[in-house]
Amino acid sequence: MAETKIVAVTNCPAGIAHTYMVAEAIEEKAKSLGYEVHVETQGASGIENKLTPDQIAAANYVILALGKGMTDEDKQRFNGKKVVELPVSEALKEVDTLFDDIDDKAKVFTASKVKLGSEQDAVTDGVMSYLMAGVSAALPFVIGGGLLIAIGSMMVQFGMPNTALAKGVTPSLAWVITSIGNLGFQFMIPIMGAYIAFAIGDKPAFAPAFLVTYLANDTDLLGTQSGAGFLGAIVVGLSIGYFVKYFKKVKLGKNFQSILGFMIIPFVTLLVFGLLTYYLLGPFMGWIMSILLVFLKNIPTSMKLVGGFLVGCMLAFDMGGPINKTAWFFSFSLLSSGVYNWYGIVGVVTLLPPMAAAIATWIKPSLFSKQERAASWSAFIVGMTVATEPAIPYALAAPLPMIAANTLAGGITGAITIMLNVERMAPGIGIFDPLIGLEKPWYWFYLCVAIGLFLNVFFIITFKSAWLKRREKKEQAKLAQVENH
Amino acid sequence: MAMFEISHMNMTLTGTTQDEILKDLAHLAKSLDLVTDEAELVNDYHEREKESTTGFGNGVAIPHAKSNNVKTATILFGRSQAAIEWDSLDGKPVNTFISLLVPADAGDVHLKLLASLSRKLVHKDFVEILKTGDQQAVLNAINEAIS
Repeated sequence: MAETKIVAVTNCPAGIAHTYMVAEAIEEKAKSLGYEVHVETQGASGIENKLTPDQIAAANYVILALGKGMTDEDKQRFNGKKVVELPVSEALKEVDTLFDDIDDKAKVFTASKVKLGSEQDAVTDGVMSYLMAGVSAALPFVIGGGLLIAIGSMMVQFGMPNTALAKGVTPSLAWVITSIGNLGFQFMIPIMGAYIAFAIGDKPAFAPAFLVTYLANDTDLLGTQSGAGFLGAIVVGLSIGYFVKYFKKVKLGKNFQSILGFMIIPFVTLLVFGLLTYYLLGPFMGWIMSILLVFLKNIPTSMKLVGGFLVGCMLAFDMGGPINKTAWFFSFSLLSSGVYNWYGIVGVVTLLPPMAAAIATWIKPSLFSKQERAASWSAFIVGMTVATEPAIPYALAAPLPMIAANTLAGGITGAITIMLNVERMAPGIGIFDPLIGLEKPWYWFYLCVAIGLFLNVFFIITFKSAWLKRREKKEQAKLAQVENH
Repeated sequence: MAMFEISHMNMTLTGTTQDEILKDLAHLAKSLDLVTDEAELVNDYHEREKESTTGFGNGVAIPHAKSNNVKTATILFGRSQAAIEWDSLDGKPVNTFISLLVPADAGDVHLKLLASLSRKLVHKDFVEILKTGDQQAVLNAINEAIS
């Protein structure tokens, strides 16, 4: 079995003693157990041995021994990892037993990207964090695969032949590229299932979940009409994950304990869940999935409008937070079943909040602070290519009008987008997606973006003006009151 | 000036409480002209102890301070005749003290040396010398740790 890998961060109030004592203690202890270990010290002389993204990615566990806390920004890098957080003095005391049952002590940490006031709690663990672990593993499959499919279909559009492989026929390049791309979509589901299970039950859960999810999604093997799709990945991933998590606690005695993790668990789990899925879960989930897909395909126009509006609102509401993630997850998951128009909404709506905020600062600078105006270009560029997060500072400065404007504009744009049937095959580079064939048709896409931006900017200016006026009045009333007294 | 030399050691601290020991150490620091104000150092020590105990077990404590009051990064070493209640991690009283003093704007070199000394403190053989070695042995061990 591959060795256990640990990363840790230590800090303390003065940054001269405990930071380093605990770092040394963790290193010594981990090495004595044969673990690979990297410890970042955040002491008085700054950060040393800064953990690299690779080290964090490879680590099984993260230990945070903190004496002066850690900012959310700093903690963000441990998103999705199993984290043990404890006071630095506790760490010194408990270092000898720290690694016993570490799996029970560790909690999967999920960074909440947006905090709107104090109302929103970070999703620190729980089912959603496992699902996101699966999604983040599946993403590169869809991105890579989606781009290849886009290239393939562009080649055909430019008049190149699209000849499939057959007896005595040499397939054309466009077909080969498309076929390779299709693998990405085919494997995103088992990868998703495998990593959901992995997030819960660790390594022994990975292989059985991968194979069983593949089985659940394979219509040829199951003989069903529809594969279980993302539903299969969720159900299989979660159930195998928890099954393995408790299976691991079985005590087999010294002689067999060592083969539990890499032999007995994968074997038994695969057998049990494989058969269960083949005879029961697979057909059942395939049936549900086919109903869902038929429903989504034949959804009446009015319902579609409502659905598009709802998804659009959710996407724009918390800019990368849990509500956004839920809507995103739904739209994204349908990709594997060849349903691209819900993800089209994501492609359009997630561009809006940061770009609209930036444009609003240019049109009506008086409504915004100096910092907000200064950040507008970066918000605009990052917003149009990568992420919705740059809209967050604008929303935090004036939550009510900004979020209302974003949500309303997002909802209307979502409804328009789905009516025009804009399809997006995979995540790409935002506003440039149509140029690389990921989002189509390009004319409807840009029309939707234009309408969305117009509405969003308009709402921001209207709402924020009104909000500022009301606040001013309140201030004045307060002042008047003070003067009267 | 060296960060640690024989004059920085007091093998027979007379204090019998945490407060008295911290005052003894502050007095030693003042007599060596390492701090501007003696009472302020005592305060800084206490502030740090309030955050969490510096008694890390095995009868050893590492009271430390970082402030503008400190003139130069230094190490002090002391042993007390009495066993001192220190609210240690292992609950045991303390008789060995290694104190780190750092100016607020300490240079990187000094901080790195103190960091490597702190790292040494989790090694049993090093702690053993601090606890039981004679003055010369302790001097050598600490100077080796920061060389």
